[in-house]
Amino acid sequence: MTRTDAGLRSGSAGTKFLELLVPVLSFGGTLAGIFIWSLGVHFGIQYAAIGCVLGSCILAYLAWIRQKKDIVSLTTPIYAFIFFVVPADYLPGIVLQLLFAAGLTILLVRLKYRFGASDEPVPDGTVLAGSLRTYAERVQGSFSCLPQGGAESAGEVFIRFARGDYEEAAREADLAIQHLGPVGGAQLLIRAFSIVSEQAAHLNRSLHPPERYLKFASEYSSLLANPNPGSRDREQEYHTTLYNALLLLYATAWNRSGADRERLLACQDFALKLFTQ
Amino acid sequence: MKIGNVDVKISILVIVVFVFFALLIVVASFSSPAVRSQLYWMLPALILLLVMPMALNYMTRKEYADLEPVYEREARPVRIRMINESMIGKIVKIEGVVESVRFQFLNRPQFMVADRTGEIPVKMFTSPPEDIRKDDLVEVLGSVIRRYMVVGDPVVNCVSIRKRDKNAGPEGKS
Repeated sequence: MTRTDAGLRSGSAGTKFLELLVPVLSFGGTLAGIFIWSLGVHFGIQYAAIGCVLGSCILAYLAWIRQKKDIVSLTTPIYAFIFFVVPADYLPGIVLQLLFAAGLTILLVRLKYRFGASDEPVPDGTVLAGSLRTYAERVQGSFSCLPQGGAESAGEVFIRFARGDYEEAAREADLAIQHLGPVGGAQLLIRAFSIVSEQAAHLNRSLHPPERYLKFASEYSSLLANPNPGSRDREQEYHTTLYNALLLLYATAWNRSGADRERLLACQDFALKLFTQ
Repeated sequence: MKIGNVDVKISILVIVVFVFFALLIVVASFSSPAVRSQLYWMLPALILLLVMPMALNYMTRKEYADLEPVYEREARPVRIRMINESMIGKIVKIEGVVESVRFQFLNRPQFMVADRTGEIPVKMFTSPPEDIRKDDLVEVLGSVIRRYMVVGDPVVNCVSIRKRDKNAGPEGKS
């Protein structure tokens, strides 16, 4: 499922209710104004734009809670406020408000299509977001005998890789492999360090995958974040192998080295990008 | 138009604005003698509508041309999915296919460049020396910035975008 599909199909009941409120309030306010005028109560028609003000504020909120922000939706309350405070004649005021309400509705549809799911967790700097948290919990018991230094190295390698310092990431990964050498039960982690080291070193020279490269053994597939990449094309498989290695290092670091969590959280957006589905 | 080594381009929008005001002045000066007496400042102002964007374009392109060797030297190759917030300010080189081109008429083109790992917006604050179109294979040198300077997702602020031959082999040793 693509991100757009997710945006269309997902959303909590509360979010869906808010989405419904945008056109209802925007058009409803103006229609209520027309109705009250038809009863002979002639007030400043610009005040019927209160529905547009509320609708635009809700739209701005829906844009704000998405990870990818839409600056157009975020600024709609400013225009709605102008319509609300500037006196207008009846007909131009009504036309303007109805056009604005239609614009808000179009922006809402655009927001859902182009700016992702509203219930996609926005990292708040204290906890891991959904898929990352689930994966970290899944591998939690796998490295119980790992020395503390191994988890810290895993975090360091991930952070350096996220910053684009590939040479340093490769060097740190090699040091970690030497450090973990004789530790039993850490073969998978050693393989993850080796993959990151190899691919980081390679990335420093070229953007294109080599003919031969390190992979995870199939017996470990249940501990990898992305499903077995063997079914895809070679280049995709190469990239997915790296994503799996990096996510394994991230999850290990998160589960075992409490002191580094603040730094790991700062790289959370990068880790989330490494999930292929 | 070429000034020194710099090929200066002005956007279609600038030409439209120039033509609009030129027509306005012509029509107004025929219909009103009062306007004719003001032509001594109107005509230079009209010419400035062309000269100022050209001067700005020349300065920007010269600056970019000076920066290009520096970026060429310092840029590190990255795959598009690897670009993230931790890389803000880093100089990068990406290769990919242009999926869309927007705002070219403003001389502020924004390219959506994609490789096998993902896609990213590539913003440029002047027109590129080459005519870049959809489906072109390109190499981009630029720095990672936030979309709205201090907030927003990472995008590439492009200093150089060059077409690559689609039939050429991969760059670098594998």
